[in-house]
Amino acid sequence: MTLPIDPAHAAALVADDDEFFRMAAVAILRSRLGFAATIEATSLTEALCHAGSAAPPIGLALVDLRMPGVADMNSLSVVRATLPAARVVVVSASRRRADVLGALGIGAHGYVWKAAGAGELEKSLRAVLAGEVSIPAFVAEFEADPPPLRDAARTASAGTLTDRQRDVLRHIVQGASNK
Amino acid sequence: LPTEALDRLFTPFDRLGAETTAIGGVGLGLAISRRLVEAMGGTIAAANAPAGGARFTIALPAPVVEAPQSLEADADVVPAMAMPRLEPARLLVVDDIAANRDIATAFLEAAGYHVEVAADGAAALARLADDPFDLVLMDIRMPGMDGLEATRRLRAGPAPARSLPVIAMTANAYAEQVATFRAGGFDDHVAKPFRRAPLVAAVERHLGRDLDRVTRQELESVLPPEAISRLFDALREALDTLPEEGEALSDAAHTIVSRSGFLGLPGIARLAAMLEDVSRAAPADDEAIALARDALCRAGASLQSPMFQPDRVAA
Repeated sequence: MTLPIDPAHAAALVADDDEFFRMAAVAILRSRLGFAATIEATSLTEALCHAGSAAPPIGLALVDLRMPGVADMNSLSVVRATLPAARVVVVSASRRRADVLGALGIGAHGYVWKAAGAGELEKSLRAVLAGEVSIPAFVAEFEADPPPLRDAARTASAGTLTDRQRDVLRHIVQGASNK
Repeated sequence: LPTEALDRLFTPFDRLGAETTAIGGVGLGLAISRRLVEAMGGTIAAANAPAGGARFTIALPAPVVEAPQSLEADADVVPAMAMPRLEPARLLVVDDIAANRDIATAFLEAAGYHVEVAADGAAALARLADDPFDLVLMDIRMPGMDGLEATRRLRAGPAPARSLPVIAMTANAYAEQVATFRAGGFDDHVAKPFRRAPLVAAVERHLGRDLDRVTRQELESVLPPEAISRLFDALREALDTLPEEGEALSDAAHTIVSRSGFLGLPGIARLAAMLEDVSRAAPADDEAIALARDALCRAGASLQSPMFQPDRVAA
């Protein structure tokens, strides 16, 4: 049974090396969700330094999948282990299904796509604070990842573009330069 | 309420100096009221009423009109309410030939758009008056009202439909004709017979330049205007100084994803996410990286347009 977190008696940790993401996240955590305190960190190491000593204790941790100190998703499992009583939300620019599932794999309570905007971020965090697990709907989109049958090929070509994507990008480049 | 607190009633989530007490302060309602009233050119004020309680005053300029006025004319005066924009974007395909409508619909639905169709200019204008759309694809030659006339009327008609992006669809791809379309109020042109990639790219180009006003307003409700301006400048700076390659490029793309996302620029956010993805892959696909980088730069160039300036959205 997961009890809701009461932000009025908790601190929120925002670990992200982009000051503008921290600025927006802190504004939402304080003014919309009512957190008593917010702690900012720019690397995983810095985040862990704050973990034990925060007062009030950390009830929610937002951690970027791409910041100094993070090699891959597994690096973030240390946050979950260091803050066993806190909700942990992975923030990422990735829309890959594998990354969303990877976040669940390390026991995170949520995954937020960084480009989703302030409203989506607030909505996801509210759900997580209420005891739910929140992941983006795009995880169920057909094109979120290439089909599993091609997994072997995908490992070799992960991170490259499909022919369709190439076509569309080419036309964006050409179309705009024709103006 | 003390007089100084009255002014702060319209600030989102202001605690009205009640930080140390159990009194909650105000929420969003009055701030939204003020934005609506000011958008209509009016003012809103609060005062303590002599007999206790409060008196809220709204002053709105109301033009004297000849009765009866059509609903369309009123739509010009009342600003468009930003409805929560649900994915996917809504496109209207206008063509008199059913096969063309079917092919365009198939390509665009496969790309994730919601597509509706109309068979001539008059039907298109009727659909656009009834329902919100994000973009129109318009055939030029149609019986009845043709595409040129329909677009002319759309541009001369009521907001918000008159400012929609309209893409001409025609086999006449000569440069001087394309120039005529632009002069006639079209934003772009795609050649028939359709091919999937150019059609989808034309749509993406214009939707990508579009601003997700709901997302922007969400940000405006949590950050002051100076902070949003700084965020906007930081995004532009990141786009202007995009490194050529390597981890520096991936890291720059990463920060662009969240900055553009918060600012309500979904097209740029998608391209930046794609660039981060390909630029971190091993082994590196240099051609894919260069392509994704070029596309992001092109899309970023549109940020010079005044429609993306932060204060223009707030206005």
